[in-house]
Amino acid sequence: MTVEDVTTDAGGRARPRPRIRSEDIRPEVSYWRRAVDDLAGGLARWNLVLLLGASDVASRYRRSVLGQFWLTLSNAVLILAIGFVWANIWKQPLAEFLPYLAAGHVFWLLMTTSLTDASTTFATSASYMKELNLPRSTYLMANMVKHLVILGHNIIIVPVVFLAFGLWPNFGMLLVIPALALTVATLLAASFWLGIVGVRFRDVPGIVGNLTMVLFFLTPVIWRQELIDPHLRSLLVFNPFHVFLELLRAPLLGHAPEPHYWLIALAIFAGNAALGFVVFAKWRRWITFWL
Amino acid sequence: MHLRLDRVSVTFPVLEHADRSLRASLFHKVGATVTGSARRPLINALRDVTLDLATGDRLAIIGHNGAGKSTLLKVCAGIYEPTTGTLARSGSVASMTDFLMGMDPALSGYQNIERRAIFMGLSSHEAKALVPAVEDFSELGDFLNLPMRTYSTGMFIRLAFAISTSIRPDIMIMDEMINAGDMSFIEKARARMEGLIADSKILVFASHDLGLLERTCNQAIVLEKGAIAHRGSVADCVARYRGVATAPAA
Repeated sequence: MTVEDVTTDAGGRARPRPRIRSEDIRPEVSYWRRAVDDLAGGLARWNLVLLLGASDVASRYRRSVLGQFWLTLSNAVLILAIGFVWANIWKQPLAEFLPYLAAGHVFWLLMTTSLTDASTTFATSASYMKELNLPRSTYLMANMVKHLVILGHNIIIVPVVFLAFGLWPNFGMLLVIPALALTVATLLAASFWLGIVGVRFRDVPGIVGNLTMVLFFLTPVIWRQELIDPHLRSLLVFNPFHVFLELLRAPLLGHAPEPHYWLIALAIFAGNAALGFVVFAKWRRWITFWL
Repeated sequence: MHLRLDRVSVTFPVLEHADRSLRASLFHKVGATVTGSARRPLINALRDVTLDLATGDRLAIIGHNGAGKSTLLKVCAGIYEPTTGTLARSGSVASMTDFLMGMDPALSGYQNIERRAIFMGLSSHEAKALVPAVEDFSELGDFLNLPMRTYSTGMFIRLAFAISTSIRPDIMIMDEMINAGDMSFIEKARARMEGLIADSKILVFASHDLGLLERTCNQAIVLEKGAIAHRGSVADCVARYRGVATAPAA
């Protein structure tokens, strides 16, 4: 029997076969500890997370001329169309309404599509999950990467629209960075409980899809909160999508979001992180049985 | 290196329950047992399985279809966590069950080498370093620049095999031996696989090829309806399995 513990490279030099890594399994640890190990394992495989996240977008648009910039183009057309119609309906100047809509819409898409996909992430990764022992968090992190890649394409619309209407960049806009960080953290945290509930109860993805459609009309994306009844407006603070959208959009439009919105957003993040961790820890091991 | 299972049971819930009677009769035929309520049947895929494997152990798993072989391999791989009982494992694990996992036909052979290597748990740097060795072993030459959808099935498998076997796991988990490509490549693949097995510290190998199991392994278990029916030398277990196999059905 030939023992090949080395392979030869193209130059004929022998090089050792690389050792693969896989997590040891200790029998005595609690499921809380296993969940922490899973998260650490997912982060340690950041190269796989990036690969899974990015290739999903790339493979969808392969061999087309515009490639993934179809995302940018189709959303740009959508924003222009909605913008022209609703600016007329609300009797708003296009120079104000279109930047408002563009900034709001790309972040709205990030929030709702990442959550909708999170609820089906495990089901669509079933072929991987049944064959590979990867940390379960890998798939959820990859989903977030995928939607950040999509945001990277859609966000191009915003500076183009802004510059077209003479809105120049300023330092206040940098506030969008912490807002985006908090939003992404919250979406990722929410995807941990949503992903597990979604793979166990297959009606959940449908419900999520429907809810986001309804919320599109209940959240100021294509309408401005100044235009509605003040009593109704005061209720908007109970819409988490509105809270995050304000934090993301207001700095771009040149005004700081109300300070208490930051606190509400932090509380929503904390709630989702706690719920996400508990649900993930308790039911993580069942995911592969529910596929 | 060790792989220990202590009284491991795996019970699956069957979440769709429309054709319960069909499902129950199906599983009755293939060997697993079905319990649980009519509303939510449970499949007892593994029952009280205890294993204690250390460096040098080569375990053959013998059993009929549906006896729990694949489930046991997946527990060893960490894909299914035991419903009851515990699993303890140290050492890097390679599950040689699906060589194609992670490969994308739209990408070139070169891109797939890196992609598949990252799926197997290598760093991006190690994945790149793997390229010359895979080039060499697969003998695909310029085809590696083309998308894999242009490959013949044989070429596809040859590349997948070359990548998947260019790593060095401590614990190898195999479900049947992979046959790759034409005659000349089969010999080369066999030598490579034997080298990989010899190099691994622990082997868990499920197969219907009893002769191959006898040549490869140094101990065996026979699985029946998810439980270990017999344990001992490979020859012993093969004889026991053959006996069971030829006995008239009850």
